[in-house]
Amino acid sequence: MVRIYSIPSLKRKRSQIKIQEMAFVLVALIILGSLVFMFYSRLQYGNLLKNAEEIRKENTITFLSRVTAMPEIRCSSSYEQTDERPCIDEDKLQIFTSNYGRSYKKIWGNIVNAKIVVLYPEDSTQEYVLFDRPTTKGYDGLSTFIPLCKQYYEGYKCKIALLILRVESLS
Amino acid sequence: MKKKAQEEIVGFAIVLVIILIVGVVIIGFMLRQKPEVEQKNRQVSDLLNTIIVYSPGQCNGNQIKDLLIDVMKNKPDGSELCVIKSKEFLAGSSSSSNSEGELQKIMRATMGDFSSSSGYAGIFAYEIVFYYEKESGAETVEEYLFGSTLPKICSVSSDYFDSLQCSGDKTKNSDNCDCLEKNIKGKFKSIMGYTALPVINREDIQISLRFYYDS
Repeated sequence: MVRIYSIPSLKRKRSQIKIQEMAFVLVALIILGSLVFMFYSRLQYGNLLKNAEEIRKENTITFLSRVTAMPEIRCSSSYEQTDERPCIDEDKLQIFTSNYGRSYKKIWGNIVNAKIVVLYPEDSTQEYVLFDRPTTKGYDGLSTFIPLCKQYYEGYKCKIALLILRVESLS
Repeated sequence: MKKKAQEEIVGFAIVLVIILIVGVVIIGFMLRQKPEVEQKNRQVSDLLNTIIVYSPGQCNGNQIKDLLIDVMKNKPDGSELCVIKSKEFLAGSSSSSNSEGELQKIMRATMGDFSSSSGYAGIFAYEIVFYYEKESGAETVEEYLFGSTLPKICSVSSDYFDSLQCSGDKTKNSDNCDCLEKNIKGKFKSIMGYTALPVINREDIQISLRFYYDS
């Protein structure tokens, strides 16, 4: 009698163990899957932030070229006949920064400060502020070297300057 | 019994394959990250493009590019477009120490600003090379603009010159180039910019500028 009933109960126990094993494997797989998913989403989020930062940087680089190409401050076509590289006309810049630039508020977007600093020759260092807006957020800077030239009868004479843009940071 | 063991082995193999796939995916993502070099190169090239149109006060309105073209056309020293001969004005005298040329002065004045504005705080040395490609028989050779005695303009900041145990006079261009060649190249990271200066009826003058930085 005992033998007859013990066999199915042993079988049942073994099946239970099998089911338990399967459950454990499934739980382990789910944990592994969720870990992988967490890692992947974290990576994607990081990439997303990085891409956003890169796009913002690219936009600022484009904006750097846009500023240097503004007809209000760039060198005239007589300079471009001798050199295709961009250049800023110092006389135009002086007028722009003294009062004319105020009517250009809308074009600056998320830029909080734009200025041109003369670096060389060292005895004529000077700073021209194109735009300045107070901000409570942090900002990142991006810059490019640019010739700052003055037109004389005999042609253009250029100094070495740095165009600096400060952009509101994302965070 | 044999079948069960086989099943166990298959299960183990499947687990291994899953772990392997996950590992490959993770490594793949890590390797996919792009190096960020382009923006930095653009800035070095911008600096070069700005330097070549600079008009030194002592040169009757001539720009650096006019002096470079003059050196190319009137080898080896150029003519007197400035108060002295173009080559000496630009690169200083290679024989005596402590005689900076205009290019070294410009670099000294702008390197700090480059370092702070580009995000490379640890820039401590630079190297500029001016050359043009010349046809020699069937092949093209690179010829240095300032001749073989002054092939490059180099500078290593004084602290690094001492700490890297470079020998010679730290104010002399050739000893700085020596220091760069022996103790810096290949050991420190660098960023590079490049520009070409067109010359009418001649080969373009190629200019490269490399900054070395300590990360």
